[in-house]
Amino acid sequence: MSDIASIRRYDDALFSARDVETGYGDLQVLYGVDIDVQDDEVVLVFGPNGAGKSTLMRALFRQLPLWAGTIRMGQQDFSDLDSNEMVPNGVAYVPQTQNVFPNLTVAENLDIGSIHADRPAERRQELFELFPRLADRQGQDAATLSGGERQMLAMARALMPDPDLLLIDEPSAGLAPKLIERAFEHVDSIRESGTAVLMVEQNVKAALEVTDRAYALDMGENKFEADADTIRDSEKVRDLYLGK
Amino acid sequence: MVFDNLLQTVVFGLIEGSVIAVGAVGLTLSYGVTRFINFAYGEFLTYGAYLTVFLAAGVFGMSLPLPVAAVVALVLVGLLGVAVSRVFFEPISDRGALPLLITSIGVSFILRNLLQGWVGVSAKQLPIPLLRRQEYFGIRLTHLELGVVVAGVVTMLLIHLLLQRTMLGKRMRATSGNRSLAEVAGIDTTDVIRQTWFISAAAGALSGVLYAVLFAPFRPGVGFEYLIVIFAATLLGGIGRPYGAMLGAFFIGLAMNFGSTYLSANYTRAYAFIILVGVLLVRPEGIRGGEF
Repeated sequence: MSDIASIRRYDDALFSARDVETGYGDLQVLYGVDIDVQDDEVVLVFGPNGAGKSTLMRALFRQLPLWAGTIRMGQQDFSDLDSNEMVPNGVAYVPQTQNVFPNLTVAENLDIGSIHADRPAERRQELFELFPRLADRQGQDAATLSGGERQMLAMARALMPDPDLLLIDEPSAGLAPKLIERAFEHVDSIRESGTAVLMVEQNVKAALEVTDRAYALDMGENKFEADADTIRDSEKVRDLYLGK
Repeated sequence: MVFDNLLQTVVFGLIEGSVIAVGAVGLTLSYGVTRFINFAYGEFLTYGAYLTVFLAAGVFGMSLPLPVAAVVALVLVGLLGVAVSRVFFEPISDRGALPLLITSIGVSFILRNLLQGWVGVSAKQLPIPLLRRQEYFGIRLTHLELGVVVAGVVTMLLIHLLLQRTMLGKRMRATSGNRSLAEVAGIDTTDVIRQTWFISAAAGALSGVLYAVLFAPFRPGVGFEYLIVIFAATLLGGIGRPYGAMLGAFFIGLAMNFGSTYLSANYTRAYAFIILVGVLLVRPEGIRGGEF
């Protein structure tokens, strides 16, 4: 425990979750999780399988009821919002699987993304610059895209409204090894364009390359929080989560 | 002469196919977003036909011209569809398809018996004159039959434009494709589903009015009895797929009219039923459905 600080709290954060508890039916999964994301930050949540990472993302995006705790963005309390009210309030989300509309074309997926966009035409151009592949595939049904293209479309759909914060569940899931690095480059460009990112990722080593801070989650609780360099250099983290 | 007869059968098949298509598209749209088969759908046909008769006959105070009466009836039945979904289906929408399906059978009984209690079981018909068939390019049909086909085709075109060109249509398709992701993308899917109920029920009412135009007179069981024909078309096209429903409808319309002309006119509905059973035997995935 000596080389890692305990859970710091950032009072001026863009987005703050405090003491979040939730679960499914009678099964409690999260037992009081704290997460802060500051402006222009990329924050990683990692931990073993079953730690509750995806559940945390779903709770933060208001897809699961909060059993306890609060979620705030700036001065606004998000604890009672429904998930469809998150995008209008500046938070977007890319789920791990089934994250595109398979029966809509690429262009129509972006139309759905533009429902809450202030300047959809410009935004579409910017996103086609970030993901040139999508520009060539506009008329194609999303069901026919490759795994990498789907992931790009899912991100582009979520980024259409130019959110302040993007939640991504496993950006590298299901991608070929050479595409994984590209996925994290995209995360970095998203942050550079002014959207903070909170992501869950199994591929911790690759994710740390673009991460500012990280939280380790285990058994539904925060185990520690630190900046990316500290996590990388920590023997404890290496032993527990990164493999030797 | 043989060819004339064949052509005439094809034309009758397409006319009835128009009625079925309007009904099948309405049913399949609601399935596409709610994922359960609405057995109360037949009552929307019945209410459409009865309300049109009553509005035209001045039962509600003033008597409207028939086309106006039909449009008002469509709107009223659309609202009935929204009301039915809010009262009966929304509260149990997270319990899975089976409770919803069984509830819809109960709703069908309630609506049918309410109507029967009010109007009785005697037959009604629309105030339309009996017309002589005119000959167009060797095909004999009345202005009304032609009007039914036009109404059917225009409805298909409007549904197509709705789904492909309007934002509501895209929201409906997104909700149908992945409801959870639609919520994530900031769509109020409860609202989309209510709007879909309106469109679905209004399409059912139009199908009922068109049916009444073709096959007057009718009784309170008319929609429920015709539901089997609409199911056959819907499942043949793969439930949840509007374009499949349109194709399925014309196929069923043709099959029923060919069967009646060349086999026996006693079994008109049975031909649709045979196809329905055949679909379930050969392509059971038709009932699992897709998204639009």
